[in-house]
Amino acid sequence: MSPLASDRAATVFPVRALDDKTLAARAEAAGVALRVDELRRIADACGRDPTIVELHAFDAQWSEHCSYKSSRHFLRRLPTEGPDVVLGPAEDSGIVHLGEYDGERYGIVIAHESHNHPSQVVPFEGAATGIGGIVRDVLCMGAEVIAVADPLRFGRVEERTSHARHVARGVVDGIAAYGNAIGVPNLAGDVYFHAGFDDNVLVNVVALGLVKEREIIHSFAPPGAQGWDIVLVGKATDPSGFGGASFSSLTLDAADSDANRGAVQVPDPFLKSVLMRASYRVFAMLREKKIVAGFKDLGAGGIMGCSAEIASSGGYGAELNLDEVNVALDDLPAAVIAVGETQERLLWVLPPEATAEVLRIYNDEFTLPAIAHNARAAIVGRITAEKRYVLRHRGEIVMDVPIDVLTGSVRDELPYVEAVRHEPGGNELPALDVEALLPQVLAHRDVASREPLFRRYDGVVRGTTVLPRGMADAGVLAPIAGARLGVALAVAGNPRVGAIDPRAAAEQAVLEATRRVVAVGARPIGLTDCLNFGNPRKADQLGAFVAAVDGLAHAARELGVAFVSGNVSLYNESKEGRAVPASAVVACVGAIADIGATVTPGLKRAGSPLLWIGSRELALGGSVVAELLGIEAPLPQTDYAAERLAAALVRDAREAGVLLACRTVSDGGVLTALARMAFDARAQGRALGAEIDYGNPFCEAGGYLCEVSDAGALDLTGVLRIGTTLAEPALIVNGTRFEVDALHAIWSQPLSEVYP
Amino acid sequence: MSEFIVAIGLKIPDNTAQTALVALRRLGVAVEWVERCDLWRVEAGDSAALHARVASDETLFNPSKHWLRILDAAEPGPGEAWITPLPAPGCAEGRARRLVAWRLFASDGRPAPRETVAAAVERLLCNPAIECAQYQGKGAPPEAPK
Amino acid sequence: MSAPRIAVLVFPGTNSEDETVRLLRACGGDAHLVHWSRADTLAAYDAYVLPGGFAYEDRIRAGAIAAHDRMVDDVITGCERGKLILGICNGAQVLLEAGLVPGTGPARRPTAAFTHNAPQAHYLCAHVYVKLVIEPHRSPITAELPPGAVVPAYAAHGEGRLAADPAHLREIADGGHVAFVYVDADGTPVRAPNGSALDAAALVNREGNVLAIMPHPERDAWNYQHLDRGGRTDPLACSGGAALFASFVAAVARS
Repeated sequence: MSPLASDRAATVFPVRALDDKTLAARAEAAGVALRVDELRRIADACGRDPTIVELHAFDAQWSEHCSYKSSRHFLRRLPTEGPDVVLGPAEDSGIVHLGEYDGERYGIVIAHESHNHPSQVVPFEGAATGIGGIVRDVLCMGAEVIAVADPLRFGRVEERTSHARHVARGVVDGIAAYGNAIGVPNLAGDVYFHAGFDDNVLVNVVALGLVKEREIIHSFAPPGAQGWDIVLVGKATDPSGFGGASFSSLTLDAADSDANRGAVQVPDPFLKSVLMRASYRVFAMLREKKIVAGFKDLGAGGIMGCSAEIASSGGYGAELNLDEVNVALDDLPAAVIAVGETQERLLWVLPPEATAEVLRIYNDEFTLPAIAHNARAAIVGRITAEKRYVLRHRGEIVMDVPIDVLTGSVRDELPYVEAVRHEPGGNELPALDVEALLPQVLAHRDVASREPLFRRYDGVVRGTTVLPRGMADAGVLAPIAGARLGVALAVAGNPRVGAIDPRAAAEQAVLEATRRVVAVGARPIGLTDCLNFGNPRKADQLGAFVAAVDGLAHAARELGVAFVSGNVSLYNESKEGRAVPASAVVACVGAIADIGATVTPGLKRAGSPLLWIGSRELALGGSVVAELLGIEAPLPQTDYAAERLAAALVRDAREAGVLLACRTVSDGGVLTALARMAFDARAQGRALGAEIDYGNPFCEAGGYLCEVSDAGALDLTGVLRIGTTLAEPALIVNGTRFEVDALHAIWSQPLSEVYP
Repeated sequence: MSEFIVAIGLKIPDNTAQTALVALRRLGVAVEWVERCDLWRVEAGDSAALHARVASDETLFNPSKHWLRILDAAEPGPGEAWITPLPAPGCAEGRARRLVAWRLFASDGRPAPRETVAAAVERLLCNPAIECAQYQGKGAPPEAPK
Repeated sequence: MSAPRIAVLVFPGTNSEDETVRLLRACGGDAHLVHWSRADTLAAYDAYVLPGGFAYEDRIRAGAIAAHDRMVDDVITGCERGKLILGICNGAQVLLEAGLVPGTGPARRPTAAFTHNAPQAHYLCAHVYVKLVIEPHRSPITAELPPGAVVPAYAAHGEGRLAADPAHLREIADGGHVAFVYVDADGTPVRAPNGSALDAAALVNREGNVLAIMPHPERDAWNYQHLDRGGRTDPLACSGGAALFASFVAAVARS
């Protein structure tokens, strides 16, 4: 019989004696988000009333953030398998096969998360901890962290004193401070500005890692782990980040802003930098001694969530002594030690013969205790055969529950209404005044140069960067010293389209992310998604989410690329309860066999044919120019067969050695892509331009604009030659002349006001 | 309007102060404990209104991380050294000016004597190429460029 | 006698150690990472490289704590004995805080600093070119570079502005301590992107054995790092910023 059945447990939360109404009130007063039916299930599973520690443990573990209880069943619709997939979405990160070098198979680890609510409340720390968390997700697979990316969605920043501008600055500074300090290049990212994010910013973060496929470390206790040590590594546990998991599942209320700030953790990139390098050393030691271990990052649910999941996913239980946890303050309550979300912590499951050496590496060789107050690696418990989860504190058992109930799936079947699909109308295309519109389009907040923002990020640390951010549609790294293999990374997700049609926006996000990778000469090998949506308890908002999942699934199947990792962020709403624009944000990883053949977008020489490979539909729906003109228009249709052909043609042109430059067409249309190819050339000191004749220069239906050396070498069925490059820095569009320098000045200016 | 000094320090363990303590001891400066906070020289009407304004400024103050006080004295107290960065040539000063205050304690738990503060400033806390130091009996705050 | 060995110092918070050691080796150097907990091994090395990062989180000031680290004791001793020392970015900041560069005062009594960028004080990551403005043989570290060599690099720092009081600044200028200044691709001088005094990108001490450079030549030192500037034929070959490393390694070999 469990000692808890006696009255020894310090504090018990009464469930069974209370009626529903009183119980609901008590739960709210205790600051937990668990519902009455969930509380009763917990009491039934335990066979008694839960302790306070158990209450908070279940609150974290069964929160939307940890359990995906209202979304997980929809996510099964996503394709997650394919020849490039090494590890699908089962652990902290997915892994795709990059290629072979020197007899080794290399995988790219990728993780994608959001840190939306914390960043809205405390922009700098919220965004910084977002980078900190995603880096741990990749690190704990046994990988070297090689890149980060940051898809951002901000509100209206035009007004100097707007809160949205304060958030937009704090977020960027937080990402910069953390990423720069740990020495991981910021390789990709995008930013959109939309009134729908005024009250609820989206801060998505992506990280990439490099791992030899036979050296992957899993986030579960390995077979035979019974009796092994559970070792906690990192920052001293403190009261920050208590209530984080359920906090991120609640709609933000400005009145609670002060209280919520306490739930945001304090980042320590300096400690993380040392932790990463110490962990690399541990990886090497384990490899050398052929020791298999489990390694997992502490995120939502803190020590409890991490240790329970690493044990239960291996088919074990766990027993921990909270007195062994290194804490920042004396007298922290057991519940805070157990589920608080202090940053910069990781957890190992180690065979006892390896433990001493691991502790030595972290504590002595890398001197963790001297790096930050009471930071260290310490044995805090062990893996048990009995499938229970037990926590001790000050000589008492404060938690003792069946581990499978704690970590097992919970599911909320919430009703939803199907999102109305946007029906393309047959509007007449208005006459477009290119001369007036091009400068406006280039200065538009979603088109203007992002350089003022990303020049605050270190994009070239580690010395592996081939194409830094901003130089092309995707960032490219040469991650393996001595190898010609390259990895490309791009992100996408257009809120102007999301606000119109969640499904179309999701499809477009997959299309744009993959195109961007194709444009630099890479083959798409894997996708991740972060689904940023509203309140799932509102049937229309859940309907938008479901439509987006279907859109992602359809596009990924059509293009033959799998989702290997992802994240869901719900309850993204304005103060008035309006959902943010539907935001399925997608990242795509691409493989490059020879970095020497990487394609860059800058125009290369005069007299080359310019080819437009893509849709010629006259659909301006969701486009920048439609917004500027204030018109409603049909969204472009997607023809997947044409899409696959276009990608194949770009590949063929590259392989034939005739592809001089390539850019994808998205925000701002074909003419924006062309202007940027001229800007790219200008940045390299080449004064080039182009003359084109094309009737639909602002349509964003998507495709590739290519400069080729010899169009004759290609099968150009379905391809339109729209013009020729010029030996002077000018664009001549349907007879109207623009100077590249003047356009560049217009394009460069707008964001430098927000990011001086 | 008069000048106030806003002090903002960490509630959580201050790793920088701890590092300074270790480094100063290594340099043979006899200190037992080091504290640190940021100071901002600001113009304001009254202290209560200023406190409220800073407390609600998310760029300066996070209540879960910081403490906040409005100082009465605009001069360093015993054991204190105030370090002010020198402005870059040709750069206009902002309205608020930030400096860092260090408070050093001797082994008897009292504020460190002046000569200890002077040694700490000279050996570690101030790089005279880019900063100026103020402590009891030494230094006035640098003049803002006209 | 064995070949001279180069130590690449790793402080807590250093983050550019791997690419630095990789390039030194590619340039023929026998380079090794020396970690802060192995400071006791440092004296045996023949030359020191302090790479980029945020040593000790730049607590107090950029480079200030590292300048007082046990490892820098050996760097200071090595400097007095004429060992060659190269500091890049944060490593350069450490060398200035340690007083080794410009070296116009006693050790650990800095007379200059690389400090907060101006007029915008934020971190800046940008491709730059720097030009050698001392006679190459003024320092053994630059001796193999042609006069007026233009070296590509990345500025990646929030604190790269040279600052000193007017007297020390004059000493830096008149004493030939400015080794590299910021230029454009053609070698024409430009204003430093970080507001650096004298538009200085790198300083050298009087003896010439210590060079502190703010931008990172090792980040534009392989063909793959500049594909469109002639890097496509052999992407894994060294070029560009590697010239400075090669000159350093050659000097170490001569020493």
